[in-house]
Amino acid sequence: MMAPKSGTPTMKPPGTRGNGGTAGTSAPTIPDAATAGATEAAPYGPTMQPPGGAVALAGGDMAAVGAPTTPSTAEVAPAPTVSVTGTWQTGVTVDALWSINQVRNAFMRVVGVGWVKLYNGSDGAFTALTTLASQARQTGRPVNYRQEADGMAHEIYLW
Amino acid sequence: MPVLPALDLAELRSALAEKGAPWRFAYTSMTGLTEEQRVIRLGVPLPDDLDEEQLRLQSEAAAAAAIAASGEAIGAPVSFDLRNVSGANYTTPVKDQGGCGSCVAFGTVATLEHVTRFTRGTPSLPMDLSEAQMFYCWGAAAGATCGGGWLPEPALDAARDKGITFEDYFPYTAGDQACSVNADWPNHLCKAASWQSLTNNAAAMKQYIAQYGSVTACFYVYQDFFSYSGGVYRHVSGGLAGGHCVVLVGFDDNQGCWIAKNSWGTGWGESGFFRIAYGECGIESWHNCGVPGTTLRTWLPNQLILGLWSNEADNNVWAYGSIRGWLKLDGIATPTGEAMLLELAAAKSRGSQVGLFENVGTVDQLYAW
Repeated sequence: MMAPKSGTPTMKPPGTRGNGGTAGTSAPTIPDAATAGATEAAPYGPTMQPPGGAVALAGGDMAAVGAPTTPSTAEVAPAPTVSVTGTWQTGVTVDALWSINQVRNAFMRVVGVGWVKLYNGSDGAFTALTTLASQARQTGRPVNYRQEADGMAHEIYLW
Repeated sequence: MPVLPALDLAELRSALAEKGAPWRFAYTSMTGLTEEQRVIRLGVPLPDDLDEEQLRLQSEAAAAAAIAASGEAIGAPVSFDLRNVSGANYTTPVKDQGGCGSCVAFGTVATLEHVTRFTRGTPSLPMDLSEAQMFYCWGAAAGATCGGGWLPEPALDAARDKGITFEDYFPYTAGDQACSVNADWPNHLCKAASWQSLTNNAAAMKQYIAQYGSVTACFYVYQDFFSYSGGVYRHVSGGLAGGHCVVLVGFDDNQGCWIAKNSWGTGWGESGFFRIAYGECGIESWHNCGVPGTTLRTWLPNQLILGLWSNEADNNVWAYGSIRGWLKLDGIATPTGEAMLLELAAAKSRGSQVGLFENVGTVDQLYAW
């Protein structure tokens, strides 16, 4: 079966019905060439705590204990080089993946949301985000992700 | 200075009664020692020109300044206790320096341990650093001896510039000795990111303690302090015995006191800790130092991976270990970080443990068991 010209997923996982839109409709509406590299690198570190992970560290809820949630002075990653204005989805699961033989083009399907393209601005970030999405699909573990105005997932926590 | 005759405990009892029993005295781990054995533990040399009357006047002024620097006034809490930050205890166990004037090593090393745990939000992170390396290596090179003591400032210079290895690489025993540290110590150490003098600045001391967990402090020890077993200490009886270094772990504006961890074992004071009144015995005005962060270079204990993270930046993948929290994976090259991510993702999905080598906030090497 030929992939659609738009380069977006069109198939649904076996045994599933629509879950937030026909497959492929959440695809980018601007060409990849314009999307790629449109967002500058934002090399900051994670700020959220895993569900239950704080308990393992602190013996209690980290927010409740008022303990630092950012790395120590020497470890603090640089501040974001771009403002992060995207929309967060939290505690969702990935139930399908899609990719095609085009440069850095892969999607994850999020239950209740639909297909979400993975950020494709560079090989390193694309590979890391794809790995996280794949692992989420394989393990069924929840993820939090940030989707920017370009429609792509720019940041993923895998819990 | 000459060693004084031991304090008459009956005299102490009546002195405390006269003052309304502000604190309790008892037979402590120090009481059974001779005065010479007690005094050798006081390892901060007293100034040659020390004027006790001047010291008393300074104490009154310092107490007033500490009270004025209330938590409310300076944007810090009105009380803080590192042993109980909403249920989490970030302090490391009380140690015993034994018959050596190495209190500076214990006071500064405990500060590093506490700051390391608290700034990372990791109260269970194993942190037992080597006072022996601090005192018998870095201290000895600077002229420190069990009989002569040392000062916190050069100790923290060494912690910043060279670092302190862990206890298992040079266990502490009391008594001047050679620097026989494990040769691998540069791969198993903690460094102070920097340090800052906070002397005569009670407001900054409180802010540092609340933000970073601890502050190193020295004070003048009078003989009654050896028999302290609880309450808010104020000097009531006995002569000046020497200078001592400890780590402050909290404060309480309502009680008007600092909370400190001593290095005389758990058989002294409040299970090794003590409270001392604001302004008392130069506690805010003599070699007070803050450390605003530390770095580690060491294998961390085996732990589970609870979270993985990445974003649109290249070479920016982080893993959340059950003991250590977030750490960045090696960012030298994309394939390296990607390989680490794959190995950690596999371990995470299996629920199996990983060994991580942390180098200043970055994972340089790992085992996925």
